[in-house]
Amino acid sequence: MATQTNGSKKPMNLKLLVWRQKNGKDKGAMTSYDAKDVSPDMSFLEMLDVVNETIIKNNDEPIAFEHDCREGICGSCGLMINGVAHGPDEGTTVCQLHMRSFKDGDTIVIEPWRARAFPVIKDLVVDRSSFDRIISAGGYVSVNTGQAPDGNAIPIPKDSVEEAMDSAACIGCGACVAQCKNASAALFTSAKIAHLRLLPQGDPERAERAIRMVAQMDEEGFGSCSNEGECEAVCPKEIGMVNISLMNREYERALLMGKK
Amino acid sequence: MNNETITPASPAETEVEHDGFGGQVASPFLDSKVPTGPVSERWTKAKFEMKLVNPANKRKFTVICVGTGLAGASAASTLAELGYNVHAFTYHDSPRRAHSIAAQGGINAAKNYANDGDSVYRLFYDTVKGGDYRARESNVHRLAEVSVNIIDQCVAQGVPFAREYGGYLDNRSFGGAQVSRTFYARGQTGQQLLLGAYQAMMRQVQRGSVKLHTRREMLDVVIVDGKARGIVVRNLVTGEIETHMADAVLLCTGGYSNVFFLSTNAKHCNVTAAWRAHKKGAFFANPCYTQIHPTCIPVSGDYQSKLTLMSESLRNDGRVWVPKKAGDKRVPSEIPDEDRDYFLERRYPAFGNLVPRDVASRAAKAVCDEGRGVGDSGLSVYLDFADAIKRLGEDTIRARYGNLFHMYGHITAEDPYKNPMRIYPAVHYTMGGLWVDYHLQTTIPGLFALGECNFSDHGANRLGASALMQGLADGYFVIPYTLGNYLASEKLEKVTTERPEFKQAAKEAQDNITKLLSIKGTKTVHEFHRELGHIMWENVGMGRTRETLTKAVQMIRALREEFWKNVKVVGEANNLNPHLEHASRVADFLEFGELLAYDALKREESCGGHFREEYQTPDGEAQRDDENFAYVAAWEWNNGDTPPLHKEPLEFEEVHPAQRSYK
Amino acid sequence: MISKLRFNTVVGKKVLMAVTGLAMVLFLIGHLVGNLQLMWSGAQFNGYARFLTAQPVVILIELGLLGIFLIHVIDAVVLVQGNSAARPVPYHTKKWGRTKSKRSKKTWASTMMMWTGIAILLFVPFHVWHFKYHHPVASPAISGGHASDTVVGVGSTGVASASGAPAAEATDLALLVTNEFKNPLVSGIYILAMLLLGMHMYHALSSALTSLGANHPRYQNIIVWGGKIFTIVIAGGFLLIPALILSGVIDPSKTLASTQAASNQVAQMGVGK
Repeated sequence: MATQTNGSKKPMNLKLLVWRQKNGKDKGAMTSYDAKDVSPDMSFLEMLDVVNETIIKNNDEPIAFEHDCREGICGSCGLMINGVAHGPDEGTTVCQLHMRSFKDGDTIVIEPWRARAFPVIKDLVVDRSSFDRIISAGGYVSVNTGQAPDGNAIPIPKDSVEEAMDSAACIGCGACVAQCKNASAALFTSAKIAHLRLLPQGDPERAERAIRMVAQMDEEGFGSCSNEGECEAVCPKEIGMVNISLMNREYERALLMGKK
Repeated sequence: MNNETITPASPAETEVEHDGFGGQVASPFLDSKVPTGPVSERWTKAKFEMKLVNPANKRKFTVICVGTGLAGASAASTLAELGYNVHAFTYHDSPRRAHSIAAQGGINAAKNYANDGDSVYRLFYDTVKGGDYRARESNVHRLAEVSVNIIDQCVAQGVPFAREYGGYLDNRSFGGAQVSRTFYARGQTGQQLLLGAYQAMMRQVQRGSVKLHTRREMLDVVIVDGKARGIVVRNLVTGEIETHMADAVLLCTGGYSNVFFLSTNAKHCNVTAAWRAHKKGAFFANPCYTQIHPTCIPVSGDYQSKLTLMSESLRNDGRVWVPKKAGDKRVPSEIPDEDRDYFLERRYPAFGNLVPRDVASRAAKAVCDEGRGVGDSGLSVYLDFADAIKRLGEDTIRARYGNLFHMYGHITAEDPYKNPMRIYPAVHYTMGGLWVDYHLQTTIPGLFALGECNFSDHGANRLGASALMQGLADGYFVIPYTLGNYLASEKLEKVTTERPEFKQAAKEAQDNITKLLSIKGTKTVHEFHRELGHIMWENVGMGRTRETLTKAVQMIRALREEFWKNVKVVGEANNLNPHLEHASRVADFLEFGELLAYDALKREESCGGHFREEYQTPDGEAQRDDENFAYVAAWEWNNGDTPPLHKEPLEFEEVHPAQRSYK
Repeated sequence: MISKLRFNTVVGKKVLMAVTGLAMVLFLIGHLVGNLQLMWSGAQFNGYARFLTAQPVVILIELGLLGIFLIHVIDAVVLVQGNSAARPVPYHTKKWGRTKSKRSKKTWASTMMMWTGIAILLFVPFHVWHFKYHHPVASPAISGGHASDTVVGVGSTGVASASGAPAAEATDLALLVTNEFKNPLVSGIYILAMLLLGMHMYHALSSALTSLGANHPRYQNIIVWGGKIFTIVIAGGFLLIPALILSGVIDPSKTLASTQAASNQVAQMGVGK
């Protein structure tokens, strides 16, 4: 077990400093809340659920945050917790973060992802549709239903598939963008380019894919990659910088080939 | 279903057979449209007999696809490839968030790559048997046929299925099958399949043939001249009620496990789309077929928001036990073997810890009901690896289950290598759904239901790794044919959203929202949902009786009444308001839950995921009643009054019903 | 054409940064090799200087270097602008990306890239001015030639040569350098500049290789450690000269007389070619 085991089951009292913003046009501000009797076994989002119930009882609007599967795979949730995307645990999303990672009396700062390409919709909810547009620019294999040959027609080395799977594990949560000082989407974009590059099925379109996905990433207003690896440190799926390097390689190759 | 008391009478007294619709003798509504002939040739025959839409005409047809999970995304992309003008809707911020993404284990296909005797027929046979003889044979056979194409398609899309050293696809075996036919991508098969379908759809978005509408929740189906011609959605960001026109509507909106509040489903999974379609005339079939998974991480407190599933494979090496004496609070390591009850091994000596999901789940609940459950809540049983670690070494166990042990440790802060895991069953899949014919069309012409949203392929119990298969089969390989047949056969007049039917439906949706916000009661939506979940779990969960079900129906009614008087919904209608969305979904669960309980009450037999304690064999096994209940129970909405039951008799020409035994 | 070639994207711009940066590193290697001859002897250094100034191609190289330098600077400005626009609203609290058991590759060097870059940008003109205009050096052997006023091995521009800086007073470069570096203020500036250059390169080298796509698990260690060692060699090498002269460990001017003739010869040979 990698996690620390805070044996104590004693409830904690915490102070939350949460970004509240009514809608996209509102200016927004940090607002303070008390979280009382927080069990260390709660997940971070369950703690927010409980705080929200109190807020509702007080006739105020609950804190809006994105979440769904609560088991770390849908990629919906994502919060800056004390200045780190998805909080202090490695390889976890916010929904898998447990309150035992905090101490009684802590103040927890909770903010939305911040990026021009991720405008805030409300409170902690941001619009990540820019990721979808990057995928639609080329993050696919152009095969129509019915065209496929037998699944075993092209053998693929086990290592290639494993490597492709490492990249394909991306959940599109946006933590890489949030943590990057440049709000760069290089890790997200490169993970998809790498996933498809590492499989023979992705080969025919590799040059166009690299050019088009990078161009779209640019158009969305993400920053550039400074190669600091902040993204890989917070990625809940532990996707690595090697993907970014591979993307750069693919892009340069496409440039040299004169692809547009 | 208002205040009428439920009398536990025989089904004949309350059901209405073929008489509510113009007095036709053979109900046109439950014509399953199954082709005749040998089961193995039916799909081929049906495909040939189906009418085709001229390629040049396809772009003139607009198809709405609600939901973008495996079924929705695969249908949207395939129909767009064919040339239809597709509109895809999801309440998520991105289609890639759909709950299909959470499926771990794998996807079945009758490829027989393992050369171990698998075939289309065997997959068909296993699925019908696994469904406890309550599925439609023709559908299941078609599912088994197209399963092989699914794998090919996904590989071509770049799904990184696990491979062997030779570079060929790897298979694993899964529950309910004696062959290795499950394809997988680590523990993230659902994710990878969904991303494949999502990417295929995004390609069509780029080409302009799919128009994507994210953050839209469907609130109603619009019926014009008896046909589904559009939907009403709420823009979740602006709160605007929008209407969209189409020539056909596909519902790919998943299952209803969250009626139990705690389930392994994602938090937003709901029955709203299916339920509102039901209220517009689509029959709801077999709602009582719910599947309960035995190896979930138990509830740790009142704040618990959802349950987490662990792969069933854990039961290969773990031994399930509880203390023999109720109230034995000793730590597990201090309880000697003679004071432990390995209840699965004791009750089912042949299969032991590997009995099917439903059997294991019920047995766990039974020992907890006796007060022998463990953990703070008393609602869990031990899954002990001590013997396996002693026998195989910790390294072997780590290699086999390392990621699951890690997940367990992360959530519970307990070390499963040192102490036994604690597990408890949880709802995680629902076999029931909107009734559809062989063409996946509901009882509303032009309204189709795909994936978990429909009832068709799993009978009373779904086998592992079959959900992904069904979602993709429906979307990639069934609906492209059957939808074309519908569009080519029907004369669809041009309609616009200016029609009064659209205005009316939009107004009703708006009124409902306004009403929810105007109640300003004292109890939160969360509290109502949890209370409903509690009623469902206690009375309509694993062990159902006439008494508990009758009680449940009454309790749900009372709770629903209280909800509409006392619910507290804060925030605004014209803004992002997740709390309001939840309220609207819970309102539907409060109606639907009653139908689920009612269906369970009326199915006076035990089968698959439906276990009536009155109907069991002397040794405590589910006892089917094939003579009286070999039918699909399709319920019609009756404005809240007792719903009429329509039966679709099930005929088993190939697989002959037999008692399941795991002794 | 450039935009058609898609250098005008975030990845393209980083490629440009990497290529121009690495080109300047190549230049620095050459520069260092030249400078280190001071350690050998002042005359050797002077001879090398005269040899270089006698090559007409040097002016082209200098122009090229100026171009590369400017592209690097302008590209950096564009990147920084784009990056700050990418996050218009800052975080209330922002920490370095690290979890309980993992940390990013972020270092003080990487966070300070812009500032160390600006420092180098200020230093280079100073350096050119310092050894080129403030103390112009001319080789007595080829006095009056087109390159007579060009300081060698300084990464200078040569652009100003047309402005007709005074070339009459022939100065011995090694002597000049030695004398200047004996001034603690001058040495201090150079030592500080080289520390900042080292800091810049510490992140820049591995970063440039990643931008060019060379980051690969198999070669990761070679790239990271190679980059670090290389940085220490380059920055340390440059830094060594003022440090050693200031501390009096070496005095290249002392060796001048004895080897004057030889180096003259070397220079003339170069011209004669």
